[in-house]
This record gives sequence, structure tokens and C-alpha cells, in this order.
Amino acid sequence: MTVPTPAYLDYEEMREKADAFLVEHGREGRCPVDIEAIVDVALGIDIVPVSGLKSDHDIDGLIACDGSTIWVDGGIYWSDNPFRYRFTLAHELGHWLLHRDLLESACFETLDDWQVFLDAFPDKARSRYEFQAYCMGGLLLVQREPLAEQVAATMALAEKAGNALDLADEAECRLLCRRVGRAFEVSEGVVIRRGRYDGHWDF
Amino acid sequence: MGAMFGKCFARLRREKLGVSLRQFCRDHNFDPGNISKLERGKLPPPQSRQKLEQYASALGLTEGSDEWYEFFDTAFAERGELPEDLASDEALVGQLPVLFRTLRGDAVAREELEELLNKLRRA
Repeated sequence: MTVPTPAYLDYEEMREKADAFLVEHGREGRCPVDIEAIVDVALGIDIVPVSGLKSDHDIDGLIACDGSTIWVDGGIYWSDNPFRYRFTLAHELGHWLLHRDLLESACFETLDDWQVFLDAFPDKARSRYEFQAYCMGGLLLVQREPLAEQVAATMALAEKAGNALDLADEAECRLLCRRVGRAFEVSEGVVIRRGRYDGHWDF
Repeated sequence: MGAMFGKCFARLRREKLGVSLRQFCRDHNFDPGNISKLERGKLPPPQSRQKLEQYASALGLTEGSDEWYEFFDTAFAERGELPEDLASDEALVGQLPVLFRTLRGDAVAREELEELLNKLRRA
């Protein structure tokens, strides 16, 4: 069996792939990106809630190796807060866009084959695959231009209200990220990381 | 085994309405878990004509149209059949996920994999 080896992809390469995908689906410049409609309606992928995925296995979501299904933890699927659900879909879609070769080569005939494959999967490789999908999730949900626009608009709003924000101050920056996150329907953490890569702040 | 009806349902929802399953269920007060199972052939089409008409209406089908007949013909052909169980295992094995962050970072125990598979099977 071939040991899975993820290709090295720098952030800009992933951004290009995410942007190209969003253009292909007519979602460039959107805030928020309707990721559920892209996955379900445009791509025809079944989104299936699974009870206990998170609590019993510490898994938010999974994509089938044939790309037909994304299983999502039931707690995340049924939650009133859509942020985590949306990011889970974007993350799994990220795997499909970046790691399709691996997924399609790993369709098994027996459970034993599945276990042998998983046991032989190097942690380092798994971490890189996950990191890439994580980056891709953020890039699909928060594009560069809309992020810059939302940051500028929020800064202007705060200044107009007499509470100018200093992005060198972590607490004030987090405040801004929380607000911008609401516009994109993602968590503060996703905005922090996307803004860091785009050079809006350092922390 | 309900598969054709489910595919017909999902195609109409996606192509005719262009809405996600969750949005469709929110709009019409349906249970997403059940509709998801219906679309994937894990539940047979409903026995009740009234329920079928409710679904047809929610899907925007006009009574007497080709789509209407296709929807009802497929439902009548498949209703009452048992949903897939063992046969679907074969399909599920062919879909097994390989990229997931952790099963708590340890070597993957057979029991945990089987438990995970059972969850996916029931979903």
C-alpha cells in the first residue's frame, strides 16, 4: 500500500484554488458564502447528520471517499448557531477540492482494508491534510476582498461612533473579528486566522 | 428499495427549487433527518397519498404535469418495500471516509471503527 503523502501547497496556491472554485460557482465576492447551497444543491453532495460523531469520536464531519456524502455531527447539524456547521462543510469540501486523488484512491472493499489503511496513515501526513483543508475552509468562506471591505467598514463604523479600534491591540482586534465574523457567518477564530494571512493584523 | 423515488425527490428539490435540504425543510416544516433518509433511499416513499401530495406541493409540482406523474408513479412503484439495510452496507464500505482529524489521536481500535461505521449506517 502506498503511504499517503500530501503535496506541499502554500497559502496563495490554496487561495487560487478556492477563488477559482467560487468563481466557477458564481460566488466570488459574496459575504456570506452560501456554502450549504453549494455543497447540497450545486454539487449534489448529501449532507447527513450523525448523532454522537463529536461526543463519541471527536469528529465534526467526514467526507465519503467517493465525494457523495458529507456526514456532520448531529449536534453541529441541529445547532441554532450555523457557524460551526458552515465551517465543517467548507472544511470537508476543502478535502474534496485539494485531496480528491487520495480520497478516490482509497475506496475499500472490506473493513479490514480500511483499518490497515488508517493504521498506516502517518500522523504528520494526516496533520498536513487537515491543515490544508482547514485553510481551504477559511478561504472558501472568507474571501480576500470582502474581508478587506468588512474590516474597513467596521473600523469606519467604530470611529464614527467615537470608539476607534486599534488593530495592534489584541482585545480590540478580537472585538472587530467577532463583528466581521457575524457578517461572514463564521467564528471569530476563522476571521482572526484569515485576517492574519491577509496582513490585517499580526496576532 | 426507495432509491428511485429518493433520487427523483432530491433531483426535483435541487434542480427545480434550487434549495438545500435544510432550507426546504425549514420552509415546509419537514424533519430534515427523515427527508434525508427518504432522498437516500433509506426510507420508503410514504404510504399516504396525502403525505405524497404534501411533498409534491412543497416541491412545486403542478398536478397533472409530467413531473407530478413521475413523482407519484415512482412512489407507488416503490412504496411498501423495505428500505435497504444489508445491501447498503456494500455501498457504505465503498464510501468509507479516510480523512478525519482524529479518533483521539491514538491507533484506531477496531471497536471504535465498527462503532463509527454503525453510526454512519444508521444515519
